[in-house]
Amino acid sequence: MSTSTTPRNSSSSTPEDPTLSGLHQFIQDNRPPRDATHEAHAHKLALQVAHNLRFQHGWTEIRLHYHPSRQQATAHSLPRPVISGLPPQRLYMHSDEQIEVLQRQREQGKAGWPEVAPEREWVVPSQLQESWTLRRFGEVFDALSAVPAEKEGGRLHCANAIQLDGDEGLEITGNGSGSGAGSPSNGTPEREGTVTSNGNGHAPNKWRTGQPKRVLLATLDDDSTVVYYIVHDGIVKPRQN
Amino acid sequence: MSASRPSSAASTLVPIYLVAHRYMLYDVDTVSALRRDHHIIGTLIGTLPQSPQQNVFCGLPLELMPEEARLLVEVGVAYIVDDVKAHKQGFLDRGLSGEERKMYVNALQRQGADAARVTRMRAAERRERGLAQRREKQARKDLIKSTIEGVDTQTEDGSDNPRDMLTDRTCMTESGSVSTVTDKTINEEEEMQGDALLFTSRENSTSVREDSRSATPASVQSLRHKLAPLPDDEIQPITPTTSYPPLPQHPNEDSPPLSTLPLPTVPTSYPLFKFLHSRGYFLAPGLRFGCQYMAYPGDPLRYHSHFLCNGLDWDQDFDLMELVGGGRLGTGVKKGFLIGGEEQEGKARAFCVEWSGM
Repeated sequence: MSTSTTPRNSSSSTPEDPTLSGLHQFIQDNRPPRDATHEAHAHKLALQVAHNLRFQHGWTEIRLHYHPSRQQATAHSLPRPVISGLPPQRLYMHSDEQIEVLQRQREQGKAGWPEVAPEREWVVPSQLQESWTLRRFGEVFDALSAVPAEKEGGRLHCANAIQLDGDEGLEITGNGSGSGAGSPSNGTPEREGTVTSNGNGHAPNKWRTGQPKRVLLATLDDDSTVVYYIVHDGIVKPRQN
Repeated sequence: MSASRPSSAASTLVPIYLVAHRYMLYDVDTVSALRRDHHIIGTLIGTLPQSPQQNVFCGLPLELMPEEARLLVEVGVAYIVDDVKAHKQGFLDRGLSGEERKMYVNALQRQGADAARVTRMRAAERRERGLAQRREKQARKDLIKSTIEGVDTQTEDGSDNPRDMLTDRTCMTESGSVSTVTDKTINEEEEMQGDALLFTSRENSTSVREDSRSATPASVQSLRHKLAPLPDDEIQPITPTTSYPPLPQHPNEDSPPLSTLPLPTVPTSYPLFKFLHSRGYFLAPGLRFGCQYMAYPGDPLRYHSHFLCNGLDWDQDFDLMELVGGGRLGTGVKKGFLIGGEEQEGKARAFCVEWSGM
């Protein structure tokens, strides 16, 4: 049962079709921006991964990127749409950072593990049957900054998104600024009341900027499961698992 | 293009012997120097003579991967020698003189003779020990039997009198074996001692006498053995393990160069190998984990490997499934999966993959 309590932007979304699945409806609701040069299937793949991030893993503030980052990117174009978002918990902590956190805990006389703020991550969608080259990885990394900027990328629309505690993730655009999914891409900052995620107002974590860049490679399989792998742009020793 | 040897460093260059497309090293000092100074480990492939039926621990010679051999040549530490050709040249063409060859052969023969003598001595000692043990065992058995059944089965001179046996025993033994006999408890060591003396002192037959003589210290026996000339067919043939005594290990510059060969051919993963090596990693073959190399942050004797490495061309296609497989395997064995290649001329780039846990 779908109850859309907030008005939808009429120019963007198609009328809700009860024969379509939630994902299918979601894909239909989010059209690529006009200046994006990517193919339709790349866009749909990205949307499917975004849907999975939001609804299976509870990510928030998910954005879709069609152009290279404004800072720290050396490439001219983004080979495929890339997602950025905020995981519910910290996704990756380098072993040395782990040691540092524990040492700080000890110095402060506390026991156990402290609360660590989650960090924004890049997600590169892919399909498991694809064949890649090292060059492709290089191009993806060259087009992205170390930390996804908060104000870049376009937001996504979901007709039936349930607001969870003021969750800003896949938000329903109440105002008229958004005109389609990925509304204004990159150039203009969002004017809605964007909630900065906790802690990102401070200087970025030195472990983020000092370490090689990383992305999450999302691999979609034919059975619609998505599995995520962390890929580092450099030599990074494995974590203790 | 044959590798040219810098004249100043000719004495310190290490020869790597190419034998049927394998790169070998036979000298333990070379092997340890390479490990210490250049963090090249190779694989020991020689069976240990002390334990030939296992291959967990192996000894010299050391086999190098083609990548390792090539890297050492490029760095200017080693040069490749065609071993077969070098031996032919060394022994036949430039050759040892007749005199040198005779000396060498005699030295080998002497080694063989010494080895044969040592073997013979050891065999004799073993025989002695075996016989002594058998005697003691037999004597003990007979003693038990006699005390239980009262039957004298030992004496050679036919004396059947239990009293005689008892008195003889008291005379011969040093420890109180009488008490042990009468108590019917047997202190094994004392009994053995007593029985041995009993047996040797009561001997009458020639066989017993001979055994007693051979029970004297083995040194007398070995001396006799040592001085006896060995028949020719007993001399053990020796196969020398290195050719260094007859052949010069590092030929001087004025002598015609041994067959130095061009750089070894390496697979396309070589740029990644070189890149990781330049970062200080120790690299070992990765067949165990289905990858090309395993990268250790330090000596493999101290550390576990950090990465399973696959080197590729920058534009080489690979299935994402392979990446996934490698990444999951790596995470399962607490290692990272590393892929890399040469992005530009002389510059390599690597990516590490691990499962995210999501």
